Amino acid sequence: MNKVFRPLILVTTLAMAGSLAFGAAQISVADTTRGLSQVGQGAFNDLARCVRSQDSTDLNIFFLVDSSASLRVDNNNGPGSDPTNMRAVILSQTIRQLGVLNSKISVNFALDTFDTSSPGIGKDGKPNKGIPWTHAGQSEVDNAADWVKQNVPKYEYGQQTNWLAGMNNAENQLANAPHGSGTACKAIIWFTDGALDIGTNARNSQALAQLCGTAPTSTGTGIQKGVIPNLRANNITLIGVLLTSSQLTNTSAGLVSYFHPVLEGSGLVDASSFGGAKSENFECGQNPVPANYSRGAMLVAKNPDDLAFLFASIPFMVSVGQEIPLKKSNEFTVDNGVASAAIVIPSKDWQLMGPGVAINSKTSDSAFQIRTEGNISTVQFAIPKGGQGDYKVIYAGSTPISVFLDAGIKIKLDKGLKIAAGQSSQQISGTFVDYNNKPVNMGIYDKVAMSVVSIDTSGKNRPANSNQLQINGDSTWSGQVMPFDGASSAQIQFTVQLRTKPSETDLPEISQTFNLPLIFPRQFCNVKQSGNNQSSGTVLSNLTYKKTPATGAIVIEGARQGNCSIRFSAPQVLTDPMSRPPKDFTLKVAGPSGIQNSLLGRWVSVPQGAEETFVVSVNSAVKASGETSMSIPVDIQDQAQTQTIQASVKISFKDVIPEKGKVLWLILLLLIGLGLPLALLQLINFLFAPFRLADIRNTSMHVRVSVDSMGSTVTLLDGTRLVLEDRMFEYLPASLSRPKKFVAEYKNRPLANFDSHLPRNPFGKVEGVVHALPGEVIVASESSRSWANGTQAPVSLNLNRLFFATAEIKTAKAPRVSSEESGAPSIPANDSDWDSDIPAITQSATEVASSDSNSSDSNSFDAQLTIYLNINPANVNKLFASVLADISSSQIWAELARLREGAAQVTGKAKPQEVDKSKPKKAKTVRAKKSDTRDGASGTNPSGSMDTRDSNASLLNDPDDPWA
Amino acid sequence: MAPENIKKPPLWPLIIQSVAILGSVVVYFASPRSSFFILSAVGYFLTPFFVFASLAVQRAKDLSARNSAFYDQPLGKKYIRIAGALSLASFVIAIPIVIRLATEISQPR
Repeated sequence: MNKVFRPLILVTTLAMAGSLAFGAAQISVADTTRGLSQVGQGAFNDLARCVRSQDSTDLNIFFLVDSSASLRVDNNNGPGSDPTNMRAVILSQTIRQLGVLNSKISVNFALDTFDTSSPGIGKDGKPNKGIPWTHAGQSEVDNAADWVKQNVPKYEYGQQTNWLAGMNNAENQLANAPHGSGTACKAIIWFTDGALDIGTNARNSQALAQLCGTAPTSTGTGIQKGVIPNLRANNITLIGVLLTSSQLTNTSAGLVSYFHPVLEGSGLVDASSFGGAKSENFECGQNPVPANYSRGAMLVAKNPDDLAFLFASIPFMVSVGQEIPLKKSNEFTVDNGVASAAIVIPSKDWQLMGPGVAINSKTSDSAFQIRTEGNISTVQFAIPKGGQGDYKVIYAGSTPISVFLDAGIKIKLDKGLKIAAGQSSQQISGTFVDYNNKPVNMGIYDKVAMSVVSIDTSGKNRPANSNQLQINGDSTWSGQVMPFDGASSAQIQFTVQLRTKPSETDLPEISQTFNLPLIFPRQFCNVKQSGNNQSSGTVLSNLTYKKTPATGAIVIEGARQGNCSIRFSAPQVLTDPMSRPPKDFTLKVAGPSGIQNSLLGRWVSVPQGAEETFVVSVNSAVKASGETSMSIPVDIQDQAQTQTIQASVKISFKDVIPEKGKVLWLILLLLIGLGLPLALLQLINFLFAPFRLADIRNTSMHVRVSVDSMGSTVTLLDGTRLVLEDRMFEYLPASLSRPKKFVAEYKNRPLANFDSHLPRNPFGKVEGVVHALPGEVIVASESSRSWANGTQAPVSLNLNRLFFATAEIKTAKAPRVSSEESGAPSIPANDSDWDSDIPAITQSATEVASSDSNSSDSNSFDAQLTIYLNINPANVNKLFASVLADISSSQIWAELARLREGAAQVTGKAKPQEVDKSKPKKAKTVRAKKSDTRDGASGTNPSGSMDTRDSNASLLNDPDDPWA
Repeated sequence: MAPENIKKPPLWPLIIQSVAILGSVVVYFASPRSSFFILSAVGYFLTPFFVFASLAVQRAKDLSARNSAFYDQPLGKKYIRIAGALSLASFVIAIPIVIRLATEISQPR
């Protein structure tokens, strides 16, 4: 039963909206509350036909919902058109019904709002959220229905009602809707409660002109451009639902009067706002709407019950067609030839009585699909055997029911039916079958009338000629059809009218469209469409404005008998979002065989049996966003050039406007994304910069260093070996807890300057640096760094176990710079403050210098040794022994000797201050000189044994630097 | 000094860094198209932020351990060098992740 019914249900959902149009009695031709104008009925027929078409795989429905404040309050601050938010309830119900339709065709839906813009603006000033394209599976529709019920009532704070923004959004969204391999049937269900209003009459006039392609005061015929005509050309069924407040009784007054012509093509409008007449005819787009376009429908709901009833009917209108006329408001007759019935009842409590049928609203029977939403019920059932006869629905109320009877018949073409290109009248035949593809005996009907009409898909929109077909008494039919020449395919549309007997009930019209490929005679080339279906033709890549043209391939098959020739001509625009004429496009056809120049207007020979690929390229200097389709006329000649067949190739592509800000935004995000972690890394370096001096103590002493080929020896000045004792160490000042720079002192005498060194490269490591006092060179126990040049040396940020040695530059003649001159502390001449109990440091620096200068051994010199230690009393002896061992075995002494020599040569040319001011970045210059000295004169190195240790590599390599 | 008294630097920050890098690579290549945004954000957190944080931990541990007289400083330096290299690698891996994330963010609604 479901198989029989569900197809019927589909049409009904959208048709419901049509009933509302009746309320606009002043505008439309309809005169009952649920009726539709002829054009409105046609809109649902168009949609139903599309759904029934063999190559249709999807039905995409876009809900466009008004979110202006007039829904909430009117101009006098009274209740607006929908103060109880019925639109949300009804929308929710409609979305739930989509799940039923989904069994025949893949149904997808999306929802968005419009007011000043689209999406509309919410109370918080942010765009309202919508529903992105969603497949109408049962769980998805349930979720979406709940979401709509919860959120749509909040969308009523927009300041304007901008139809144009809404339509543009809807068109773009439908262009990007999902679809399968076949044709997607498209519909927009547009809820609004009032007139176009975007601020001023001038702006309203401009918006209407953009919508309809003509000025709102134009009394002439509409022209084929504008957003609305383009929707029709794109086969988008536009169903408008006008939610009217109780105060709004005259929908033909004011700008709301334009709603009807916008939807249905023409109507009387009140153009007084634009300087026109109070009542004049206005056409929006081409009228009558061409046969290959989709029509629109207007529905008017004066109260929520009307609206709910109409929307409950829409699925049946889409899948079956129009409701049948009733003898009484609640009675109908079912004859032979009716496969199924669907009834919309304006009550939640009812009884249905008929031949062999007795059910009520509480019945639970799988043979009857019963749904109740609010005060509206629907029941669907297959007519049981012996179920023919009179039916009656008993319920409280006088509003008539709606009944949809479905014959359950499809039109099937005979296998092997071919439509030949270049021939005017051609024989066609087929069979009537039921939904299970079994032939149907048409003799059971009182009257059967069938007609066929060709649809012009060449873009010329030539009027269609209808031909009556012969019903052959059994289940077959036959007749003639006249396909249009110059088309890309033969699109033919069948219509069947049935009248049952004995009650003489006219069943809804059955309409189906077939899109058949054209067959070319053996002597002619064959145009092979590479698109995934006949309706979209060859799908090209996107046309990105000012960036890339749309490109694709057209395949031409050579004739089966002899060579043939083809010629491409200037294209016809079938659909375009900006209604651009053909002159706005640049079409190039290139190839085959590497022909690069455009072949437009030139004959090209195609060898017999060959398959040639032509590359089509379309560009445009006019900006657009949406979907464009074109028809490229192709003339085909046989080898003898005696006959020319006119055909065409349909191409389609998407127009894309590159977003300028998008690229900048992307670049900005990339920069932020990459810069943020680097900044974090450098912040980590910064936080690690302070020295850790907690519990650190230091001592300092004068030592005599002897460097020879066997190594280096360090003793106290009196020649005795170094000794460390706890009492020699003093605590650092409490103020130095975590400094980034400080002056190293011992007994209040400055020894050197400590500083932390933040790397420029975030991946580098923050390090400590100890700077020598003016006139001295310095070496620390840390590994050598590339920038260790004698005036500074690297140290760890944790000074535990650090020792460094300073020595005066060998050329003692150089005047020593005072602390006042250099800006750095210097060792005072008077050393009376030094601890006389410590023999190693009883000699002043001046004395050390003089003793050095008097020394007869050039490899022996005096130096100042400073040690930092975290002394743990538990293992103090081991610690001191370990440190002394490190000192005596350290390579720094040879390095110190070498630096003294090198610095002496530098100071001979430079002032002493320059040595102190040396920065790490200048180290390369100093190091280069030292390297030159070592390489060029090995005799200047005081110890040959140091050469193996003190290589250039050891200076250049930084083991902590991952970049090294 | 007896070898058993030597205090070694922690290895776990390096392990965490390696796991984070591996996880980020897996997340990048295994992400379905529909989850690009959220999984790219996860990958961006892992590499480089989480890896950088582990480097900071390794450095902090190394600095504080230097208070000990028996700390294995050369090994500590070696670990920091490896952690630095892993951080650099994580930054390189982050480039395609950031590109994907930025692309997802800049997509129209």
